[in-house]
Amino acid sequence: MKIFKMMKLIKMASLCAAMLLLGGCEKEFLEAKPKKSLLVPSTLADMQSLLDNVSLMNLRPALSDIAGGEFVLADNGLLRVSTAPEKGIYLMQADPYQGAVVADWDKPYEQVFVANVVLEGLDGMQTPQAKELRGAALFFRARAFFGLAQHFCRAYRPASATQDPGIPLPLASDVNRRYPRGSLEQSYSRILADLQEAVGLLGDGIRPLNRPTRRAGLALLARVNLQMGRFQLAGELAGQVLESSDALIDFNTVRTGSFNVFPEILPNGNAELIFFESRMGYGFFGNAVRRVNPGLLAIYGPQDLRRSVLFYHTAAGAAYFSGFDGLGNAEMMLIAAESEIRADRREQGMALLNRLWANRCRSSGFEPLIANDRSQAMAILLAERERELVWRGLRWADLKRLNAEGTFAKVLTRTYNGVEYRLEPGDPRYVFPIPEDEIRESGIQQN
Amino acid sequence: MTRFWEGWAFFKVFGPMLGFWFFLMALLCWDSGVAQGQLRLELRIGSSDGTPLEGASVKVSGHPAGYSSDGRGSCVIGLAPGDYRLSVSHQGFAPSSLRITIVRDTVMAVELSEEREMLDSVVVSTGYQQVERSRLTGAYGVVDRKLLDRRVGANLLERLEDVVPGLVFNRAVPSGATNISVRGQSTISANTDPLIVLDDFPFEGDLSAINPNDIESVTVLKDAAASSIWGARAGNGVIVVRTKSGKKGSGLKLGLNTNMTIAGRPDLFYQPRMSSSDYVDVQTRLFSQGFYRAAEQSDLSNVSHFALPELVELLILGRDGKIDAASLKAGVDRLRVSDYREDAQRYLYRPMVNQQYAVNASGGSDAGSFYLGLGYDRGQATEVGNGSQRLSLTARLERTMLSGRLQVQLGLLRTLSLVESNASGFSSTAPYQRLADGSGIPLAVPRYRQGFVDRSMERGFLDWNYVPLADALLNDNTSRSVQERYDAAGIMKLLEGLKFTARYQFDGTGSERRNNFDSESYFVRNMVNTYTQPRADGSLGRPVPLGGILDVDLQRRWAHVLRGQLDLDRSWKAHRLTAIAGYERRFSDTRDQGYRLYGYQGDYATSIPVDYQGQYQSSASAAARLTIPYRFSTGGLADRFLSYYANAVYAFRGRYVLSGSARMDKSNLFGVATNQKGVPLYALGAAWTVSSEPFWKSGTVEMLKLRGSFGYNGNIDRSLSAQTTAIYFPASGDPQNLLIGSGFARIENPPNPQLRWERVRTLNMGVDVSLWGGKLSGNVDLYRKDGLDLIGPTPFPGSSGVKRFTGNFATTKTHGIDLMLVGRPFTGAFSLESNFMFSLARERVVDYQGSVALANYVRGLGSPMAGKPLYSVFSYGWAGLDPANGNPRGWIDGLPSVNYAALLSPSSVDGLEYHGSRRPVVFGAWRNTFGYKGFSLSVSISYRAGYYFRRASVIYGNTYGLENGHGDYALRWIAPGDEQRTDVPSVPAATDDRRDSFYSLSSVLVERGDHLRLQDLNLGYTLPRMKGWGQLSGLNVYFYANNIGLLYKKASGSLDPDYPGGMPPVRSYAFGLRKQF
Repeated sequence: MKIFKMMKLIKMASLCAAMLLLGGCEKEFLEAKPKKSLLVPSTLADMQSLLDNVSLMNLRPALSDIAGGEFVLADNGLLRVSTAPEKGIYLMQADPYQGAVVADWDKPYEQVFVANVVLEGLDGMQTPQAKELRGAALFFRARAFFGLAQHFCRAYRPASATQDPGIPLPLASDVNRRYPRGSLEQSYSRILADLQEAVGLLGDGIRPLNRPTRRAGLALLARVNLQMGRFQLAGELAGQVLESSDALIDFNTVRTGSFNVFPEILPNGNAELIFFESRMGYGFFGNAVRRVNPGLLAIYGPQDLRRSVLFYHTAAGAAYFSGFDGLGNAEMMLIAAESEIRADRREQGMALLNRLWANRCRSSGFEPLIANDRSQAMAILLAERERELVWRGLRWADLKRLNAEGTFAKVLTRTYNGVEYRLEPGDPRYVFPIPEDEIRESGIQQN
Repeated sequence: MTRFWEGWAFFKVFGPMLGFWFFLMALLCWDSGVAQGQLRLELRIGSSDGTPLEGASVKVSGHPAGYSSDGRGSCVIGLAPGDYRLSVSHQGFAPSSLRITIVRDTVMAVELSEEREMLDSVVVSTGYQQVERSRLTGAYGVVDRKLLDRRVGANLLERLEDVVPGLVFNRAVPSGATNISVRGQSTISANTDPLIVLDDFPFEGDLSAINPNDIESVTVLKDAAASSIWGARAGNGVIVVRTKSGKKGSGLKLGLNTNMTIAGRPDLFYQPRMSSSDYVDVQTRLFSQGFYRAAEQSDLSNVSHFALPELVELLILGRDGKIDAASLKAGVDRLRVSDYREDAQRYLYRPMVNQQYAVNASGGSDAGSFYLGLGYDRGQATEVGNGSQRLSLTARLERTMLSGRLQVQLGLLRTLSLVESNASGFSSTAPYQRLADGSGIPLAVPRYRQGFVDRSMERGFLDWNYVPLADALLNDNTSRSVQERYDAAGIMKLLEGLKFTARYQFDGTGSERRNNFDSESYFVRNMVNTYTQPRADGSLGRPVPLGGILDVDLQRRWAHVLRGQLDLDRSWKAHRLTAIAGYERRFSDTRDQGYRLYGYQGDYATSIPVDYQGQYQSSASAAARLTIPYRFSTGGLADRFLSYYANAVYAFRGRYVLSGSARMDKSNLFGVATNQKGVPLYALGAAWTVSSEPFWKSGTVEMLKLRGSFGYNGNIDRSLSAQTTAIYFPASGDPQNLLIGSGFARIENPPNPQLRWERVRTLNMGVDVSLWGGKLSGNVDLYRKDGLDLIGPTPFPGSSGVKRFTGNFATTKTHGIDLMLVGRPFTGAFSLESNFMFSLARERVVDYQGSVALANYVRGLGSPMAGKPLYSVFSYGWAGLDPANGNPRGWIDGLPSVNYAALLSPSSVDGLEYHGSRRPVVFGAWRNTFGYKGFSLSVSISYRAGYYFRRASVIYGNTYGLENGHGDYALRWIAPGDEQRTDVPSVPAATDDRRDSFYSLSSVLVERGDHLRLQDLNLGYTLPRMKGWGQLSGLNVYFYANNIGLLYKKASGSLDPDYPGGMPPVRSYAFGLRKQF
């Protein structure tokens, strides 16, 4: 009797269980995505989407724009600048951040992280699109590393690069790993290696300017080599970039008188840009007390259209920047010209400068730039770099490399509320300190 | 107020019900399943106090099969006419034997007397089964109907405050969560809310949809033995809510309850604010330093035209000689004496009024019962323009069929809510801002400089003035939601003592929020104007068209739960075994979508297309290129749960009890292999009723029971993942992506291959005791709770690519005591019941593998310190103000220092001052209820102790204190000697963020939170049931006052320790009537 009851019980129970289980297979039931928009990056389209995060991936560090002296604040203008790093950098403080977090440090590493996630996701994929994406990720990683090195390390000098501290170089997406700073030589080797590989993988098809092309890879490589003092190589690379296109916007055709004189850069609105970059969003740049340094405005000649095209001058006499940002043909021409001039091919160098100048000069009053010797040519070239590459984050880097070189060293001064702040060549403040929270959490060495 | 009954609303509530009720009626009319030729004997088995006894075993002479009573204590037996001997037995009660002669259908009450009259026969619901208290081994807190009724209000959970030991409302935490923690918090970043179970199923809708008047009881499951049956969702405790149901054979009963609650305006002066006069002084100083010059120049040079503060406009007029010195002074003096808070209190706030109406009907025939409750709540919020209404309907029906072998239960809960959020939303930072002039005429608050506004209007732009009070009248922002829950259960008796239950529930919510911006509203006028494009011929192009703007957000959630469960209940000799085993599957989906219509015309429900891709020059800010905001979105969430569970309770001689339960949960965690999606959890328990032992002779201690349990609960942060997860955004998610026409993905979680489920291990020892015939009773529980693998965030270095990383970092240990004492010294005409609750929860972090940066302890950035509570208050030691200049000072190497960089980054823990827990370590309440004839008075005093809070003070920033406009500005150090009277630093010579940080995190701003609060008071009178009194007979009239005030606090100053940052709730008064027919 008892056994019979037990049997009946088991039968009943299994029947009931079966009834309930009919609802579907367990595995499938648990596979439902908890949130529609969620994804584990795995397809090529996912990787592209990660790199297309323009508001992160195309950022460039910009504290150097505040430091570089292209723009100045009126007295008490800092009252309207809210974060400590902006204030500290502007006033050339030795401890500029006051313990605050620094986007110029954090954001590039975020880009590196995304690039590493993409690189790992592409591992083993061999399709042409996968190669392109791998090239793009390497480009973004190198660009981030380069920006960091420009800000937080000394200028690259072959003699001291093996001793100068570099930047941590995470090459895997594992966020739990910690990396030492290594040497500046190691940092630059990584940047060059990544870029060279990227150039081999990237194509040159038409795409929105936020996505890197082979040209963009070469252009960045040219920029990096110039910073490293490898002028000949930089010039060759710039030349390669210009081979496929050396288009320039003729500033005579630009209608001035408003803030936005150039068409929207994205997706492909600017013929002379190679790659789109956007400045880190510091309040300083939106600050109405910020003015174009009168010293900078003064170096534009009367026929120079850049004074009115790159700057919007208000009735009250204030000037606002209205140019564009990124890797462009003009910069490549300047790199190529510098390479020629430094190699004592003054003629070729001046010819390149004049090609650029022809597009920047009022057409009615065009007179070619003339240099009688190498030093004159260099002086023109460097002034031209200053006039042309306004607010691309290059001025600070130029100051650093030229100061290190010696011949063209400059003392940077600015006056605020009656106090003069000076930065002598070689001053340790040319290297921004590593943010406090980074030191605290990872224990890397401070500058 | 919007008409509640408009169109669809009425149908939404009553429409679908019609079909449901037809079905119910059909069931009720269905003849009972007793076989033909047999007579029906129904026994109503209850204890001496009338509590129905479930699971009583009934034997009938000549019938080999046994019977048992159901949850209502009812047992229906089909018998041929004749004489029978019945024996009725139930664990913990003396068996009863009786003879009966059956000649017709008979209903008969059987009363069992409790063995030794001390076993607590209260039935506790765990959500899966109902168990008599005598067989429980875990820690439970039960709140009955009477206690729930003591409080007044539309919110159910509020009524649990101060009535269950171990359950605390974390008031100081500003968060949207329910903020209830049961026995301290046992997670860091995962879900911190306890699981709410409503009528046997987890409730995931909006709790405000439940009408407290329809609730019968609430049980709080505190330890592992109690809650482990809820497995991975029980880590934060479980609150089981049961709605009312009818009683079989009770006849028709009607009840009604209505009340009105009134509370005054909030006290906007509670938080100290900088006075208008001080504000004027600081702003004048800033003006003289050129702080506003940039904005002024931007306007003059047509760059942007944002408004300048009223005072600054005056000062500009004065500077430019547009007004003379006398009128400048008069203007400034007028600002010095106006106080925005007075205007706000007058025009933006009003008294809060809540009305509540509830009626219910219940009853039962021999074979079934029903309950029907209808409630209507209407609230006028204290913010002018906000209000809510709720209409709720609850129905429950039970029916026994097939000779009592099958019991069918049907339930319905349907709530319609309407929330109007039409408050102005305006708040001013300038304390001299006025909202209306002396005669009450609304004043404009400039958003752009007046010259620009006037010039624009001359060019044909829309009126660009913003008048907050007038604008608020145009607000039309209404949310409507329907919440519905249907459940059905069939309980089939398979064999003697074995039941199979199939339970199904549908739970759904639909909500719609419509924010209709009137074409005359400032929002629309500003938007149209900003996008207006003047053409060469002077005409105006309007990319954002004239007409209103309508934002709609829709959400629909639906969940199906299916549960199959076997219940075993067998007794043999001195043994009794009850066990359940079941399988549950839960499926829940949410879909939402939202959209915006431009040029909306409500009368015709038409709108106008706009160009989302176009780039438009902003007419208010020359540098801005704008695209028209694209607000079309869709999204979806999906939750899947699979659970297997089992629970068994074995009792020997009714006094030795062993229990065990186990559960396995699986869910659709993302980015995790299927075999890691589940976690097994279990609990064991034992109880010994010492007083039932034959050797127990104590007359004083009538009942003494010892309990012990041990087990695991779980919790999970479902937002985390072992693999890298990203969120995909459409191109419209970022203006730059809109330009390139490609969507993008943002990494949400870095990979965490080590991710594990959180587990909470609880050891609980308890004693239940009753003395002197129940004059004093109580229970005490000692527990130890270990949080294992707790998930929390920790700061990461920027170079890792993430600034915060969330993982299983912490292990915590909590020791605690929950004590409840009930004294009933008098029970006659004058009665007194005194309830004393005491809880102690001492929690500390045993191990923390995350970041150990000292500065993070002080900032409370989620990095707990080993040996200290999860939430603790650290500060920088205070060395007073510098007598020379009023700088705040800390200690370095034993000497006062103003080296803030060093002070903020101390080299060792010694540089920090540890105060204690941020959450109350000790808390509880003492409630006394007096009764005299029809009167009752109940007063509750709550207390919290052993914790600290940090109060705010002035932050100078770069605006000499306007940064947060704190009232401590008036107390600042001004001249040497002031350091004797004040701790508020001087205005710094230059902006110094670290000085501000040091002061705001220094020990001088940390206060003790200990306090004693007169929480509430309930005074009631029940009119005697007398002939001739008509409907007044038996009427209960009550008065209730809540949030009465603090009786004592340790901290000085005016702040309520539980509300240091926000505003304390305003004292409220309620008056109500209740009647049972």
